[in-house]
Amino acid sequence: MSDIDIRQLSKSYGAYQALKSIDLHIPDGALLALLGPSGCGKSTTLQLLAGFDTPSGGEIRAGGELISSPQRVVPPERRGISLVFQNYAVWPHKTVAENVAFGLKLRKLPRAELDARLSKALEAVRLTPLRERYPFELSGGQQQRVALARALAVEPRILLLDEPLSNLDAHLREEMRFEIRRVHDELGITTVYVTHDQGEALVTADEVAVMKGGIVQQLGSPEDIFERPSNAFVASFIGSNNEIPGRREAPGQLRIGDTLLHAEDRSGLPGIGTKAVLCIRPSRVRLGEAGGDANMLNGVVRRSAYLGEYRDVLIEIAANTNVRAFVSPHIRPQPGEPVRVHLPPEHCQIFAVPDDAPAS
Amino acid sequence: MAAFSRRHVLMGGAAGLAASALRITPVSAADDELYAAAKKEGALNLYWGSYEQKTIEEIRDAFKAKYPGIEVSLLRQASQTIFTRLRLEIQNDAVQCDSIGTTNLLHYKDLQKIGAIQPFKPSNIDMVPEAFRGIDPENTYHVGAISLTTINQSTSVTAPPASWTALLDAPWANQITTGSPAFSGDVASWVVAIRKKYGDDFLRAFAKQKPKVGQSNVDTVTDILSGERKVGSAAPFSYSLTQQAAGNPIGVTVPSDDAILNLGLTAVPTKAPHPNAGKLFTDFLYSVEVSNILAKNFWPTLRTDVPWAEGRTLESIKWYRNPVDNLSAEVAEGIAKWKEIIG
Amino acid sequence: MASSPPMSAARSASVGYRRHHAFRLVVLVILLAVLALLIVQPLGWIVFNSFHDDDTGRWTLRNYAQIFASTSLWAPLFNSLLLATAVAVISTLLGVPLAWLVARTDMPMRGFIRLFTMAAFVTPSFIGALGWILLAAPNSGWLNVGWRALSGADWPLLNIYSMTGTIFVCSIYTVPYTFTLVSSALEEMPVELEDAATTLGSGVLKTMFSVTIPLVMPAVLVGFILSFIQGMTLFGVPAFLLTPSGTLVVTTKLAEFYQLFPPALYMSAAYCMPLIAITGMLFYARRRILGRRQFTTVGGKGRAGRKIRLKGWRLVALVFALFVPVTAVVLPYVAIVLVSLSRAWGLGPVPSNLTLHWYRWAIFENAETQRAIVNSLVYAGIAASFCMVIGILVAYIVERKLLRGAGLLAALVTIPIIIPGIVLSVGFFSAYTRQPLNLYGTAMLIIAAFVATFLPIAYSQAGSILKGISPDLERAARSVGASEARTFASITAPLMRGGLVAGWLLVFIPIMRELSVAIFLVSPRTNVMTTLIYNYKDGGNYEAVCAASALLLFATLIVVLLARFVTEGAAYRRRNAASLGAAP
Repeated sequence: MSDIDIRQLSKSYGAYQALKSIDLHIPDGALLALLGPSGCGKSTTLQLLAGFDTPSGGEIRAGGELISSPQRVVPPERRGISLVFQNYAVWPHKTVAENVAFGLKLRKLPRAELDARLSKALEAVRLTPLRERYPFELSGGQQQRVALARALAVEPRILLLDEPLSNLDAHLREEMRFEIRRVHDELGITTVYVTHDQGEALVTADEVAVMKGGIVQQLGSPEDIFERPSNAFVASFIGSNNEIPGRREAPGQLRIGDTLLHAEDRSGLPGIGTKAVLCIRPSRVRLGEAGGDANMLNGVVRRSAYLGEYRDVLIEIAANTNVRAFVSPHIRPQPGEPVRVHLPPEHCQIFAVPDDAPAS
Repeated sequence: MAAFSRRHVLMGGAAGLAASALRITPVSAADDELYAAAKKEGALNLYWGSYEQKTIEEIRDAFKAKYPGIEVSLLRQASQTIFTRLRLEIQNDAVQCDSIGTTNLLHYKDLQKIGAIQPFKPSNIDMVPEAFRGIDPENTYHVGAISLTTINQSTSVTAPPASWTALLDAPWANQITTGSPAFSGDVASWVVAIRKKYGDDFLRAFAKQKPKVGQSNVDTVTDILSGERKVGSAAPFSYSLTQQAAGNPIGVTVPSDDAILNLGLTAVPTKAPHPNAGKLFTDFLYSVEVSNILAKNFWPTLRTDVPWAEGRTLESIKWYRNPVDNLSAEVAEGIAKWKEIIG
Repeated sequence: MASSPPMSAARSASVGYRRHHAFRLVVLVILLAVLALLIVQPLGWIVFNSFHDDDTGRWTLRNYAQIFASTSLWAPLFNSLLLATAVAVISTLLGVPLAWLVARTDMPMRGFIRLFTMAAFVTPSFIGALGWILLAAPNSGWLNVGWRALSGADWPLLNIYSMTGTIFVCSIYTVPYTFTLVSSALEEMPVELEDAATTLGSGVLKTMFSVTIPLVMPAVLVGFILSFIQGMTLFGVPAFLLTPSGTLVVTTKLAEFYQLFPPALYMSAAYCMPLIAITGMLFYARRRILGRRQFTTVGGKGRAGRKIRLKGWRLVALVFALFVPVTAVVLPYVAIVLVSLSRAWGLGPVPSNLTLHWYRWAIFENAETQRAIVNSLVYAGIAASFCMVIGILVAYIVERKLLRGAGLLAALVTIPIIIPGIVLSVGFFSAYTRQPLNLYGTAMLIIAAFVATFLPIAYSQAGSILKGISPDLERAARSVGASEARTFASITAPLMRGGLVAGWLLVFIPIMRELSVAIFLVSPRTNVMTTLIYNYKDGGNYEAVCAASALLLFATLIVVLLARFVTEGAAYRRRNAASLGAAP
């Protein structure tokens, strides 16, 4: 077991900067999710962590020991870091037991200990009955559990999971999320979990690092990330979100058309009159209620969709500006109908206009 | 030493009758000395392109029987390959060859020019037909094989062409097969001879007969046996006779306007690792044993006192040999003319 | 106190770091040294020679100037280009569907067709040409005789002495390259990929052309390039079939250079350089075509074999599939075996003319043939094994990008294949007859020459196998603690095994039938079958030529069958183990 310390880590492939100086600390025994769209740098980070690639700058330490820097990279097999792959990478020429026992055999353990650890690993992922099967006789979920058992059997100090559930069907994926969390809680291995699926990240992780463009956009607990995103990108990437563009008149005030809206100002913008966006989750938007004068807008219903647990309503509040609201399914606004929209200030946050290529 | 002289005495004492019955000639005094030196060298590497695999293997085996104690290696490849290889060995200063035997005089002219073959006089060259003795005034190369180029024909042909000029007659249009002078030394020397005799007009008329041009002159036999063509021009005399003797439906016609005689030659490289063994082998070529082997395989013998197969002799055949003075240029010119006229 | 455990961990990791790099370094240095000796040196000599004058031995640019200036030297290049392109196109068109039918469908007689396609591969092209002369010479060819008898026509149906005939014969003996490469790629491909297309309503043929073939494109392209190179470098077929029409190709033109006094060895070295350029362009084109596309087919997921049912088309498919076995093996070998069983082949196959003499002679009586058979098998076996080892290492370095400049390494090991054997032979001669590396006359020399000559095939075969194995399978092993070497031995090598045997055969067989490269390198003790057969041919002893060819085919087929037996046995045991494990 050990913590991971990533300092100013960067990686370039020719002119392309895949990773632009990231800093992360993952405490011993924690489960960190690296979350972001494809090309955000999360897989590069993982490759560097696993030792398959050499960083262009910065360093990685595990348990205080320097394992990666531009000058030297401890080879993967010497790191005590196990990796579970997106495509499972289960060896087709070995049985389930042979796959899992491979890493143990390398350690030249006494027969009895090897058997014990093999059984324990298979038990942990509930594969004992299938131990003599070949991979082609297994389902995708079973193969993924073989990969997990194989990684865990060697008792690594760090476990890396690279989109481990993305090849599984939705039902199985949900089940495996809890499975991974359960195994982590049982063994307490420091774990880095790479995913593009916010649901997986929120369910499994102690902490989530949201990445984009080779930079960590925000590091925080799942609640932090969801409730207090640090910028418009994070707000929109995690969960559903409204981004309402406007002009910032004063700190905490954004003008949209004729209306001045109040919100928590997290833009960090200096001047007055600059462009900014107001973010609010659709579930926080209220319709047709008198909530005082603050942040009340007039709008017209454009679309209304019944989703069983809630209703998804789209309201036009100004030309080319819409707001989505998730409201109780019992409210039945009709398209074309005028409606009052309330954006409670305590749920509104002002951010700088998101840039497609944010500066480092 | 004692054992050696005893054997010598026994050989001498057994005298002519036993020796000729066994077809083993007694070792001459001169060869005695050479044999001793060769034996000291211990090995002999033959690079031979004259004679086909079977005949040269028989010659090698006879040599081994007569001169025990010398390890003989035979590399039998096409003459041009043998020559190129020796050139490479000379270039890289890695000569392995003790005796080279190929069918092309120009090889030896080239080797002589760079001083790569050594002069010596074989002890029993006097038994060789006079015309082929001392062909090199400097004695660096000697006759190794006699090759005759003639006409051959399918046994289905009742009246084969009797001369080279008869090949130009109407019945033989689309019926002739021949080799290419660019690939075969024998065909090249035939082209030189025929141009000397009849000029380029012969080649033009020959082209009108639409001959099928293979690579080697051996291909003429193939075409006749398969039935692809009826008559072979510039065909190998000895090989055709061998095929006939094996029972194949082929015959040989010696043209009235001369069989073309091409000498195969042999030499000992200057840097041969076993020069005495190489010289001993050259001597051996002119022995009765070798000529008997040659006769058996339908080759002209190298001795006047051993007749060819089926009682033929050099005298019984009308032959012509190209003068050697300007041969190199004439061969090049002949090939160029052939390409121009025949293709 | 708290800092002490990480300190010791750091020390152990650092030892591992050094050992890891030391091992890599040792392997690399050995490999580079071997490649320098095997390839750079001989190739260097060829390039060096090409800048020298044949008459004077001095430095010159005259050889190149002559190639540019003389149109008579262009014509053979153009003819070779035509021949090679046609051969590549035809063998791809024949070989790819053939591979699909054998590897993927329930067509009958698949085993027979596979075996006979390999037999076509075993046949030295000059022997194939010989067989086809007996079959399709305009007057005497048996097929033409039959045609005239049946139709009453007075013109021949086929004329083998033509460019068309040459293309045909070269093609049928080149198909096995494409066939072997593509069929082993198809066998590795997950069947789901085809199922996916079929469920979308795509027909069997449509699926084959739109899904299956594109997926094995790397193998198809390698097959195409190898076929092209075969068409460029074959000597026997054009020498026999094109000489009568006066058409020269590069290899026959080279043979002419060797007939000069002194032989124009340096000129012929220069004459090979355009071939290297052409092949370079081909490989560049392949890279452009494959580009960024990913062709990893063996991922972590399992694969299952299932045959596509051809239903009513089975017989049609069989007729197509029999074309190569019949034209490349059955027909010519009937001719060859009949000749080999004749006392005198000109008498034809009548009972009184039949004999086993030539076989008895070759196997029991003649020491030269006995030795040559053993030499051929031993040299080809050793050389093919070395070839595969080096080929796999280079392919591994290139595919897994372990070294900067790996592309250069790939180009280097690819060059020998395009240089006609006779020129390569001179290069080896120059390289290995000098101190300190004088191997002249030894078996090592021949084996080294064979290894270098066929390394390109081993390398490209290993490369296409490796392309099919996901690097994640290797990384998974590294991440649980296996070193690079151990990963290679326990994961990569076993996963390559099926393809490796096919690849080994793909090298072994052409070595068995290789003639030209050995020609200046064999010694009496190290003679091989092909050089011996060529000597018999040179002496016109066709009965011996045919008997020895039949023996060569027989000996090679035994090795092919053994290799298949070994691999299929292993696969069978694995399947058995799997099904046992699956039982409750």
